[in-house]
Amino acid sequence: MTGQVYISGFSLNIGWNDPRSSLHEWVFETVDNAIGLSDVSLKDLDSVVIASHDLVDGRSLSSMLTATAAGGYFKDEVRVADDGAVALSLADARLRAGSAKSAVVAAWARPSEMMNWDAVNNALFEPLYTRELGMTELAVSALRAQQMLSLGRLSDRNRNHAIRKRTQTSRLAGPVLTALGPGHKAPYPLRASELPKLADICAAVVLTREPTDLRISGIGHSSEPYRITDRNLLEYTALCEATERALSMADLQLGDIDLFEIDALTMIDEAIAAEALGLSGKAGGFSYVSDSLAFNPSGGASSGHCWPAMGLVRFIRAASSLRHQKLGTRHRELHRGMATGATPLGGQCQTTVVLERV
Amino acid sequence: MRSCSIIGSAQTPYRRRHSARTEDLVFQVCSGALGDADIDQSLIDATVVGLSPDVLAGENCMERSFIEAALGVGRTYLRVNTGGATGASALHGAVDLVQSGRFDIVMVVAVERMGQATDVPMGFNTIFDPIFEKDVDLSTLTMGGLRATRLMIRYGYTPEMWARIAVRNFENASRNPLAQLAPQVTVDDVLTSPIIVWPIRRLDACPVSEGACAAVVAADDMLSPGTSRALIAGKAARSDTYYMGDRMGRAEGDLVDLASLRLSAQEAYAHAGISNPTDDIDVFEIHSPWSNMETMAYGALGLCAPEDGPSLVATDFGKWGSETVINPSGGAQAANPVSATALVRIVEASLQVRGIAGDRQVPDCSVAVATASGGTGQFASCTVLRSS
Repeated sequence: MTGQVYISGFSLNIGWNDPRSSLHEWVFETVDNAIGLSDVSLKDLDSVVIASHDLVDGRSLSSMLTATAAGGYFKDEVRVADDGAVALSLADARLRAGSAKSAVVAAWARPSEMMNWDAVNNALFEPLYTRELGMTELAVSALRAQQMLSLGRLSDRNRNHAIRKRTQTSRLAGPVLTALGPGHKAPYPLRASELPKLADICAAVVLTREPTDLRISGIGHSSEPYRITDRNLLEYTALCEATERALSMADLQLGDIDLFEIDALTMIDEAIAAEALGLSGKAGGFSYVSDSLAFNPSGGASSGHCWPAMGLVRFIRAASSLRHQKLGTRHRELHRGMATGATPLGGQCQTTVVLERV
Repeated sequence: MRSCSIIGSAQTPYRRRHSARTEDLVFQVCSGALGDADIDQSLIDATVVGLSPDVLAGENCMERSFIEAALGVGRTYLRVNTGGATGASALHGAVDLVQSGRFDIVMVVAVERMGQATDVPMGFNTIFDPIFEKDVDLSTLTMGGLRATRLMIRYGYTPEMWARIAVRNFENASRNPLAQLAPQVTVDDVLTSPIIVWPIRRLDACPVSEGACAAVVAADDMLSPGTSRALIAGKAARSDTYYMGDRMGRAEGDLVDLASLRLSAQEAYAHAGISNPTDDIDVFEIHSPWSNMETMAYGALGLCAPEDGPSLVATDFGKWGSETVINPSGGAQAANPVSATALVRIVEASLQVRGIAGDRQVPDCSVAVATASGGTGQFASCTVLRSS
């Protein structure tokens, strides 16, 4: 492995339907802020990697509009139609390869401008046998929850406790947002209070080969089959494999990590992920998610959610905690953090990033 | 920097429409590329998918559905989308992953199903600004027409010059068994074919194409000495402005001078140690869906000054049998599967330097260059391949 990759500036904008700026103006503001907070000038940036999706942005080849706003003018710019953590991974590779000295990574989603979030989600699924069932990302989470229910691992007491705690830690201010279309109810057995809060999100990070206080020490990926019937939804196989690979690259164990920012759609998904990763015992996921300060201290998907930005959001949350030595509002001595990013289709592809204070 | 090469590749034939399922096309080229590389699939560390706008195939995130065929399950699996440059961007991403030391062998696969689209120009219309451009029916075709007229005004190109290029491309395509179109035509045939968007005529333009292409990128330190390979000697990419109007008359390069390609080529040439492109490069695979677009690339690739392009065309530069051959595969005029077309250019260049291009092999080819263009020429890249 060649060289080290360090984290310089980062910026995160979360809101809803702000009429003051268009999508590309909003991307520009966020990236400009991240560059301003970094040790790198726009002139010296030689690489731009963005994560965005046409159907979320509402136009074909949307990066034509946004690439320049993200700093891509006359730079080596590329767009992944994938999660923001994948963009981060590709930028990391460019720096380690020596093909760039610094890179800006940006990811965004603006669901407030989408006409029908459910329809876009539904269109992800297999068109002949699955789509007609009304499958959405939330429906996959509901299937996970049903499996938990049938195994007796979904107790009302733990669930209610987790919801109360999450409401307290959620950082999302402003209007109430919903991941459901008008008139839709949460798919059983999910509850409305457990759902992600859709938000307009733009995230940007500046990576450099020049040492800073934070570095990326491990990245891992893995993927699962297309059809959810070919997966064990409770095992989170791709997440576990990606985490194992990232930790291996960083030469660390799970127990060495002080902070976890896990990208999952609902609190139930978070609890199952915590169990699958071995952070809690079986059936102990809800207690862990609600009581551990080290797990999603920023509030997880309750603090704003929309793919494909989430992996980069989780990364920025972790980087911010490490830089400011805070878990939520509490001061803590933190050395290492872990952030994950998931793609649609129930987290088919997962990326895990390990970051450390230098 | 860790050195790496293309060690295997495969393509489907290109057609207006394939009856096979997408996953079958992807499996066909991925397994073919493994066979060409003579390696087992267990050695693949990651798959980079090139897939451009979802609107062309009419499917949301189609790459999710063929993950098994693309060898992605249990591995790193990611998708790149930069329009017509997608295939090259995917390959460059794979090179970065290998050169970073994080992976040793990466599969790159790109597939296009635009034959499923109900209206391709309408799909392309949605890439343009919804307020100022979309309602004037701007599409990639009309964009090509506007740029062609600017070439005529600025540098004195004529439809006859572009017709000669079209004739050359189709003649080359006749040696390529994968080509979708290979009509044997004359300059007069081109000039009397129906106008699509003036001055572009039907025989100046690429067809709607479906097909798939895959390449295996490997670190050279993983390969045995005798491995057939195309060394990736240089690569670079640049992005330009969204609005074409912002490139008109600009000091950094006019709209038709392709500044993003020029900067890419300069950097890729520098990596590869190329100082005199016309002498040092044996084959160019230029991504030019219309014959006029090739002439925009001449200046950017250092083949001549932009204003000298018409004179270069008059010499039949790049013709089959010349010292420098352009598009021995027939280029994008023979088939232009948008998501894959830039990877096709690179794979065709790799076949040339590996000396296994069959009937379209250019004798003694040791250096080949492939270009890519996406959006309105906004995204450009250049890749230099060398025989090992």
